[in-house]
Amino acid sequence: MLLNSDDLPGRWLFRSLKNAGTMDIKLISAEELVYAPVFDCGYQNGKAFFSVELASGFVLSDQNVTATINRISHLPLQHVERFKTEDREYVSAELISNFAFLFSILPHIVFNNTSPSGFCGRVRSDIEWLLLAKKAGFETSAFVYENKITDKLSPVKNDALKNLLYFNGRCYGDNAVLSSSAVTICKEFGEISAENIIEIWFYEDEKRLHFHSATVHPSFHNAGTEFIDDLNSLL
Amino acid sequence: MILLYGIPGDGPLELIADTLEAKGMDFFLVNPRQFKLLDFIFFYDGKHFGGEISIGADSYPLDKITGIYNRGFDFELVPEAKDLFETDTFSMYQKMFNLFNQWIEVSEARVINRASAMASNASKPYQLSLIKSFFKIPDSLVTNSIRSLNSFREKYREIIYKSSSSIRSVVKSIEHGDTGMDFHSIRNCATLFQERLVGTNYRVHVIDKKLFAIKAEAETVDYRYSSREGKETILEEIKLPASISKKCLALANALGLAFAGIDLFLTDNSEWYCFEVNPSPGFSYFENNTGVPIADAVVEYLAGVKS
Repeated sequence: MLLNSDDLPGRWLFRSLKNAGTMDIKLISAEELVYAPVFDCGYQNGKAFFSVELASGFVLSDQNVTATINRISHLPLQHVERFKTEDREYVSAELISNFAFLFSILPHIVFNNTSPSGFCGRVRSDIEWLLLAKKAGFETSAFVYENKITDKLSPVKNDALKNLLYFNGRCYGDNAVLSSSAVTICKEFGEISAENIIEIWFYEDEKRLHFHSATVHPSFHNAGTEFIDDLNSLL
Repeated sequence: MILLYGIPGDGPLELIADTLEAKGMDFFLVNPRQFKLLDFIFFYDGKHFGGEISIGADSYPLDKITGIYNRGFDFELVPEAKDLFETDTFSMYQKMFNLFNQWIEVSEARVINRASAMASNASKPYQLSLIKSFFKIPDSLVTNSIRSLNSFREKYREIIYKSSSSIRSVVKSIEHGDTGMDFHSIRNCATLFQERLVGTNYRVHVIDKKLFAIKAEAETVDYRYSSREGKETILEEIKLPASISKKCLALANALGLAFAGIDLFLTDNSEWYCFEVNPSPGFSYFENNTGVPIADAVVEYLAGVKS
């Protein structure tokens, strides 16, 4: 399991999987990967390979990884500040490129696939999410951007927001407060996004479901034990 | 109405503008360097998007824009914006350009090319994983280890190194046994090395269902920069074998690119390799040197002409 060192939901997930009996799971931080003494990946006769030796001596390779949970959303690039000004942009772009490749060739990725537009799922703009939400059947809020200022025409109170986790074709959340139409629309939303895991935030108003936001980097808020059990069975 | 988004003086953008002008077609330019003259209104009424772009006294409704040629880049890189760094004015314009780019992404116009489709080129080794379903790819190693690099060098007569990201670099070669080069800096940043193949370079421009192939003969490793070494590159339009043309069209389509510059290589053993697919091709170099009508095809696509 790969994660950024400040990823508290990721650490919760790791502990939950351990408690649920996932035995052979290892946590590796983005820092360990970026500062690895040996980083090798590439292609031999058209077949991708990787071998990354961490400072601890552990070697992450295509020979010993059977499944991957990737939660790394960004790379620690503080060390790039030590480089000459003219080299910083180049080095940052190269590191991002190299890790986009490495993450994309890890075996059996159970969350979202990596691409250069997002290490753990495609990072979409608010407008792209809004279009997906409309296609899935959500009500979507009007907005106006004019004179370089954006106005949401129907602001939402945060305490009215609910969330649901879409994972691998199923929805997980607090069943006591979620309507069946919420589950149906969120499932549709997940399917048309072509991502494997998404957290969706919305509110209900006069039996209509209004989209608020979505992320490919879930907080697992209200995900529940069923999600952990299902994830565990995939590893 | 066709929107050109980019900087005047950019070769490909100029060729597209010249072609539009010659054909008497309506177009306008959004020049990020003139951001102070720009106004962007964008709204969503719960069902549809709308808005307009204003440049000085001229206004262009978004729903009248049917084609977009996108050579834009991050607002941070606009020279005139550098003086505004970390000011509210900078944030205001940055937000405007972010939203402008988001609109391009979801616009119903024909777009060359959307940012989401161009993203694969931000990592060449990542892009190779998409290419390998269509063409052979060279053996490659991304490494920060001198030992791994030396093992890789042992396997090949000659290897090359180049940028792994989309930041342009000149391809350089290292011959087997060459001990004159110091590669210790790879420890700070893993670098992309590839086997050097022997044969001929081809650049294939795909525009929707049209295709132009150009053979590039040069003695240098990177034919684009032959003149820097006092050498010459000979460019010549050729006809590709039908099976290769078909693969090029399928590859551009698989990457979601309406316009692509595909770097092919035919080895002396008659094997076709692909090194890279450029989603924003600098095609003016090829058109100016061969007369191949790439800009014409791009303009026809943007104008909605079926190919």
